[in-house]
Order: sequence, then C-alpha cells, then structure tokens
Amino acid sequence: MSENKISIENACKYFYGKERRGAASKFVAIRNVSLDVREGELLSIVGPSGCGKSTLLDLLAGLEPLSDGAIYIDGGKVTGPDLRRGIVLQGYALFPWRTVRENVEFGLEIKDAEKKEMKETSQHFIKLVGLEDFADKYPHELSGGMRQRVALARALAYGPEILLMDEPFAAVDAQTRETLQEELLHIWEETRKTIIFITHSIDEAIFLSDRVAVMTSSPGSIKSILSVDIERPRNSDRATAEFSSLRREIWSLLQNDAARGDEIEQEYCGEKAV
Amino acid sequence: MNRVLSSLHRRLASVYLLIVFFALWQIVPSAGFVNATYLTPLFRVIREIPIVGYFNLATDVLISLKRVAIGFLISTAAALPLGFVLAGALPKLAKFLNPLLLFLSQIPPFILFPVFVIIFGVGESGIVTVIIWSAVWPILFNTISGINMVDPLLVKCARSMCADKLTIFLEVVLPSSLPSIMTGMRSGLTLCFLMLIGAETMGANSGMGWEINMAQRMAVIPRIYLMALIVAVVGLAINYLFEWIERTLITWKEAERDALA
Ligand SMILES: Nc1ncnc2c1ncn2[C@@H]1O[C@H](COP(=O)(O)OP(=O)(O)OP(=O)(O)O)[C@@H](O)[C@H]1O
Ligand SMILES: [Mg+2]
Repeated sequence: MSENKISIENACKYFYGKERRGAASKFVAIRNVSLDVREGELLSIVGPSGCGKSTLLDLLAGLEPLSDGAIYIDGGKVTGPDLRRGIVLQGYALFPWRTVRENVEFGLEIKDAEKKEMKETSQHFIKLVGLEDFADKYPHELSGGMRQRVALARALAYGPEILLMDEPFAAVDAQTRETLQEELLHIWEETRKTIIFITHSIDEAIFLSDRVAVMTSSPGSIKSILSVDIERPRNSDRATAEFSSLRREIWSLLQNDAARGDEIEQEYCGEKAV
Repeated sequence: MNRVLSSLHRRLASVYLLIVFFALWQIVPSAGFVNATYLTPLFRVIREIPIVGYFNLATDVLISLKRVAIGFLISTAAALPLGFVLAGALPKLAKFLNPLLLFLSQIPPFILFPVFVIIFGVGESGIVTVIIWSAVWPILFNTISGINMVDPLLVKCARSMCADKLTIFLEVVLPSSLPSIMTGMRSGLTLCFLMLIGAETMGANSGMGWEINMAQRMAVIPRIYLMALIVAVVGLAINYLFEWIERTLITWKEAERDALA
C-alpha cells in the first residue's frame, strides 16, 4: 500500500452566527472527520444534503481555516490555497467575461506561465475535455455539460496533484453525465491524480471510486468507508451483483441516517447556544 | 427586394415617429392651429441658425461639452475610487455612511449653487461644482452596489487558484461590477449634461444654457426652440457615444442583453 497523500485528522469546522443576547451562536458543520486518502486514489464522498461535504472540501482546498484538528498533504499541514490542489467548486464558477480558453488559463496566469506555454497547455486541456471548437466562446454560449468540462479543464490546467471535485456532474442529463464520468476516469487513468469526488449519486460514487466515504447528516462526520473492489474497466450498465449489493449497503447507511434526523436536529439545537 | 425594404422599414420604424413629430412641428403652427408666436414653426427655427451665427453656436456647444467633460471626469475620478474603497475594503464604514450619503444625494445641486458660488467663486468652478455634485452620487452608489453583488463563488474560485488580493480585484471584482459601474456612469453623464444647462442659465457668460437664458431675456422665441433642439441633439449624441463605449467594453453579455431587448 502506498503512502497517504492526504491525511485528515479530527477535522472540525464551526460557523459562528451573529451575537444574540450576549451569546454567539455556534453551528457545527463538520465534527471529527478523520480520513486518509492514498496517492493516486479516487475516493468519493456521499452524504445527505447540508451534511458538510462542500465545507470539508473547502478545508481541504485551504479556502477556510479549520476550527479544530488538522489536514496534512504529503505530510505538510494545510494552511491556505495551493496550486498543487485543484478544486472544481459546486456550481460552475466560470468567469463570464472570459472565453473558454481564458477561463482555462486563469490558474496559469497566476502561475506566471509564459505566453506560449500557456497557450499550449490550455489548448491541450481544452482538447482533452473535447471543447476545441468552443475555445473562443463565452460561458453563456455553452450548455451545462460544456461548462462543467471547462471547470474541469481549468482545474486540470495548472497541473495540481490533487483534484477536489464538488458534485461536478450534478447539473447535466443522465447521458452526458455518463460520458463525463467515463472522461474523468480516462483522465484519471492517464494522469494518476489523487481525486476526491463529492456526489449525491450512489451509482456515480460506486462506478468511479476505489473507496466511498459515507457521511452522517449534519453535523457531518464519516460514518463508514467502503472499498469498491469491482475490477476496472467497469461495466457501464452497473447491474452486476457486486454493484447492486454495494448500492444497497450505501443506500441503507444513508437511510438509517435520515431516520435519525429528528434526534440529530435536537442535538444541533443544543449545541447552537454555546 | 421586398425583404430589403422590410428590413429597412424595421430599422427606420422609430425614425418615422421623429419625422411625424418634426412635420407636425412645422404644420401645426404654420397652418394656424396654434399661434405661431408661441410655437415657432420648424423652418423658422432653423432659419435662426445663421442669425445666431454658426461660429457662435459651435462655440456654445463646445464650451458646454468642455464643462460636461471636466465635471464628469472629476466626479468619476472621485466616485470610483471612493466606491471601491468603501465597498471593497471598508464595508462596515460603507454601511455606517450609507444614510448620510443617501441624505446628501437627495439635495438638488441648484439649491447649493449659491453656496458653491460663495465657496468656489463666480464662474467656471461654481458651474462645474454643480454638475460634479449631481454626477457623483449615481456613480458612487452603482459602484458600491456593483461590488456588493459580485458572486462570492467567483472570488472563492480565484482564491482557490492562489490569486492575491490585487488580482482578485482586477480580474474578478472589477469585471463583475463593470456593468453596474457603467450604468452609474451613464446616469451620471446624463445628469451632468442636464444640470449643466441649468447651471449655465443661472450663472455663466457662455455655453448653450447661457444662450437660452439670453434668448429668454430678449424674448427671441425661435432661438429658445433652436437651443432646445440643439441641446436635445447633443444630449442624444453623448448618450449614443456612451452606449457604444459600453458595448465595446462589455462584450460577454451581448447575447443576454439582446435577448432582453
Ligand atoms: N459560510 C458559512 N456560514 C455559516 N454556515 C455555513 C457556511 N457554509 C456552510 N454553512 C452551513 O454548513 C452546513 C454544511 O454546508 P455544506 O455546503 O458543506 O453542505 P453540503 O454537504 O455540501 O450540502 P449539499 O449536498 O447540499 O451541497 C450547512 O448547514 C450550511 O448552512
Ligand atoms: Mg455542497
């Protein structure tokens, strides 16, 4: 087994609300998340809406400070954003005033890449996601799936070792979604990047990942981590016995949590007034 | 052939209305429906041009334009950085100052004109101060609201790629708020022009507003109409020029705007 690329140790994130009657309200978004991700691994995170998946990704990207615990990447503590980590945020977050090419080049500009190198790199990644005919279009001229590809190409372009993806294929139809999944696997196999992939789709998580982490509802923590030992390349009809049993297992893990919802709601209220 | 004609027709549709307007302007008074002394027929108005003198008219227009330009540039130079600093760096101060700024912006500049004259003296500076006072507010408010409406997701995205504060300002905040800023500058410019004409009738010895004031005092009614016509044409030209600048600067929203129009 290879060395851990990412190591999350007891990560906690609190959000503090406005002070009311002297007491600041404290909201626990993530509680004691511990997770190790191996070099070159593709790990998916599933969990109920609002359980803190995006928050966890922000912490991993260094966009938000941790309230407690620590995250290590290659043994070094995460203290801020870093171009060795690429993030595809929930929603496309494309710059509307930049063409596809200019969007893809954003990170390269910050890296102060040479003009020629920049052009070649952006061309390469635009081609990789199949948008060479749309390189000079603006985001509003693209379909949802195309925008998604631009966001992916932009995160890949500056050459991060780790790719953090937040529900990247949520806003496209089923067909496009499968195509994008195949494309992502293709890119992953080619580049062997470490990928953390957040999704609401159990099928997507199983189809893509080496392991699937299931989160509890808010305040989120890791409930269970399942290995997906289905041989690659995986059958895209997703109907094998292994696939179904994993699907059922993850589904019931999420289901249990939903039944516990009331209890959790109360817990959360109790913690609110600290 | 037919298609060419119909496309020409569509393009000219709004011009027809103007033609009708000008035709009525000529016909109604000259046919005696209205007393021609009060409503001078169009051709009589145009014949007033050589009487005033081409050179004099051109000078009036240029002097007024120069004042608009100076006033507009000063208000932009003051309001833009102020808006950036307030909204971008000191949002708490901006919130604190907001009621005061709103209060001040409601004061019509003409009421302050005598005060301006006392402070800045008679002549150019008093006039320019009036138009600065009127243009500063829309530019300031639109800049602040433009910056407040920048999508935090885009800022986050830039931050994830290690963009520093200056890069975020130049590459994300500025382009995001540009449409709003341009709207503010356009209202500012329109107000500049309107207020200038007013200010010139009150205390100037040159310019289009002054010419109107003189015509009024000497009761040369055709000249008043002539000056009104010229003011409207110049105002329209300024507006078109600014629209063109806006279109060339903001190319990425072209389609959206067309769809709305
Ligand atoms: N900046 C913030 N300030 C206060 N609360 C926040 C902030 N960001 C997130 N939260 C809260 O933290 C919780 C987790 O949010 P998060 O966006 O991480 O959920 P999520 O699991 O990504 O949900 P979804 O699947 O719907 O995207 C939510 O209840 C949200 O309201
Ligand atoms: Mg989310």
